Amino acid sequence: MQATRNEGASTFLLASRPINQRVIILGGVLLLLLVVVMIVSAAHGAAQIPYADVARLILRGLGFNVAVDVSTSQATIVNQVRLPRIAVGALAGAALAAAGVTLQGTFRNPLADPSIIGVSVGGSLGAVVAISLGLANSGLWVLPIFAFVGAMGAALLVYVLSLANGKSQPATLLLAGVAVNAFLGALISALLLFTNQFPELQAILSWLIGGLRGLGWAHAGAIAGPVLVTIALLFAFARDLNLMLLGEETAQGLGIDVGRTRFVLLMLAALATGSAVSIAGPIGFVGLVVPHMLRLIVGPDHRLLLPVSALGGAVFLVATDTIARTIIQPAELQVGIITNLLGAPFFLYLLYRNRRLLRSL
Amino acid sequence: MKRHHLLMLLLVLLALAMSACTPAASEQPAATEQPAEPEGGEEAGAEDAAFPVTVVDGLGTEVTLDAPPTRIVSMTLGTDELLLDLVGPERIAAITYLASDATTSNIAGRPELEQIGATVEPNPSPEQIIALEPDLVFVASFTDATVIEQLRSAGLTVFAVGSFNSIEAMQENILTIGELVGEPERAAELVAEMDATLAAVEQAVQGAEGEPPSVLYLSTGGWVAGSATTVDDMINRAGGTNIAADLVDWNQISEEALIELNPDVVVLSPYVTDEEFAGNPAFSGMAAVEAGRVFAIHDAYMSATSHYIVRGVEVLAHRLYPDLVPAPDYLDEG
Repeated sequence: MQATRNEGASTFLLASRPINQRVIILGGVLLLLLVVVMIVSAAHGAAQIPYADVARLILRGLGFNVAVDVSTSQATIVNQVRLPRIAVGALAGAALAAAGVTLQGTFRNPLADPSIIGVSVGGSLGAVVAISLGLANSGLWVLPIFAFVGAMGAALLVYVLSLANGKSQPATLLLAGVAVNAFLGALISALLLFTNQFPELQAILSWLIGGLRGLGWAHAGAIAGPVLVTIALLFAFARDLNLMLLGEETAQGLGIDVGRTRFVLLMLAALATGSAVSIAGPIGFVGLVVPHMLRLIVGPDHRLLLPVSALGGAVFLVATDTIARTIIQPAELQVGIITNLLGAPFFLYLLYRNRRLLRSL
Repeated sequence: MKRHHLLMLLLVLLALAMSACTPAASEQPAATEQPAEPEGGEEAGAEDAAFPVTVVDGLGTEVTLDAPPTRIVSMTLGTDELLLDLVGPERIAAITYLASDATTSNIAGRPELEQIGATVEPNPSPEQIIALEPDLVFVASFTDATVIEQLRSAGLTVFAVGSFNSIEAMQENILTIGELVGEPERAAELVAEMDATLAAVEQAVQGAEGEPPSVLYLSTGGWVAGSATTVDDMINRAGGTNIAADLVDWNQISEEALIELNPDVVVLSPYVTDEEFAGNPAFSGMAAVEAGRVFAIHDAYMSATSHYIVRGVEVLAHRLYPDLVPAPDYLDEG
């Protein structure tokens, strides 16, 4: 982040245009890309279906009177297996990327990501508690609430641990994240050990492995509300995030209640992460890879970076899940495997690039 | 930093000292037991000329007993079920907690279980097993190798049950265990009863007309039984064909691959939730669903690794051919 800020605004895409126009133009381009990726994703798998037929099926699903010439099983595969899964993937990807941008801005730390600082594993713990108490089946909203509480608790814990002299230090934040990850991970292992009922154990394990297998429209509906509302609220805080990048004293001087704003932003990031994690399981590094790539292209202004990252996160997770789904047919990988394979080296690269920043602290 | 190094060194030394101590400490009870063993051996040896007996267990290890075992500890459900009918409760010191769990056990309601003094709980520590002073311990091939090693180095005789991919392999295992516990005739009897049940099913389904139905066995998380599995063997013996036979062993396949397979009959493990299959709109168009030929079969029958496995074949045949194979009297929709 430090480096990109010094590069100067003129190198960023469409930098001469007003910010509102850039949001509309770049947002439109990414939205188009998302639609294309969705159609491509919905076309590939065990049964290959032509792109045009997929597009027609989607249009028909949206209520248009379009004739489609596909077999019943192909229509079921697209409508009931692939499209809901794609919708959940897009929502989860958007939530995780928006949470990543927010955490990086709030902590002024380029390495902040829900999966690194322990927010994701907090959400996992919440979900595992709900499953092992046998509450998970009482409603689709139960898991998101437990996951949110867990994610929020972990976020606050990491934040308090990383405070030194009243400021959140980047290196301390990462180390606190390591500790919280290990501690909450141990609690999850202990819960697994004490859960002797096979169905619950099975549910926990398959949830911990993560992935978007078996998700239907009901799941997409369950997280659509929280994810979209959270992203909209985060967008409303974009200007505050910009000011917080200038440093806490400066932000305070400019009239921001830094403590309260940071708390609200953390809550929102935890809510976004909790929603994504509760349905899709722990998926790492989306909040790291996507915002950084886009920061290089669009610059550090959160009014642009935040919506663009949310859309980019949706594109990224739908694309990686398509790879996960099709690479070892008829079996499939969990999407978290792909995001971690891509994300971990990227994290090391960022660590290397920011080594001077980290050493100085 | 220096202090850290010293601390590390101390820890390493401590660890080394402990690892050096453990075998020595655990050999002592073994050594004191040894003089006792031949006494028991002589007694039993007078009754049973077959001993000492040496067999090869499921992991290829030779297991030798000098006398018929009288304090057997079973750490697998399959041996719980087998031993109860093979040697009876008097000679069993402990069985697993699963034996009394009706969802997975074929012996859950049996009154003899109360005569057995101890239960092996989940994640048992080797200490608890050693404290039972067993003269034979049955573990699974998937039991933690370090646990098996600890039990053996404590002087216990351990038989690791292998994993099976056919009913025939299970029958061989029953005969091997029968030999080891000194009950070869009873073991042969159990195997003969299995063969009789299988032959009766085979004869009944021979009367079926038309192509045998294609069957998919689906467990939770999209795991299906391919060829070279016990379930594949069971499907064939019950007069069906395994639609996933192109896949070898157990495979986890995608939802759309399931839809594309489109079998005549789907057999569900009871752990498959309604949300996962029956209530999932993705599968509502499958031929088996539309024809109402989706059956959940009690896990105790389908997943047994004892002589009770033939129940799975019988129930499966009843589901495939309800007119030819009547519902067995033990049938529990579990």
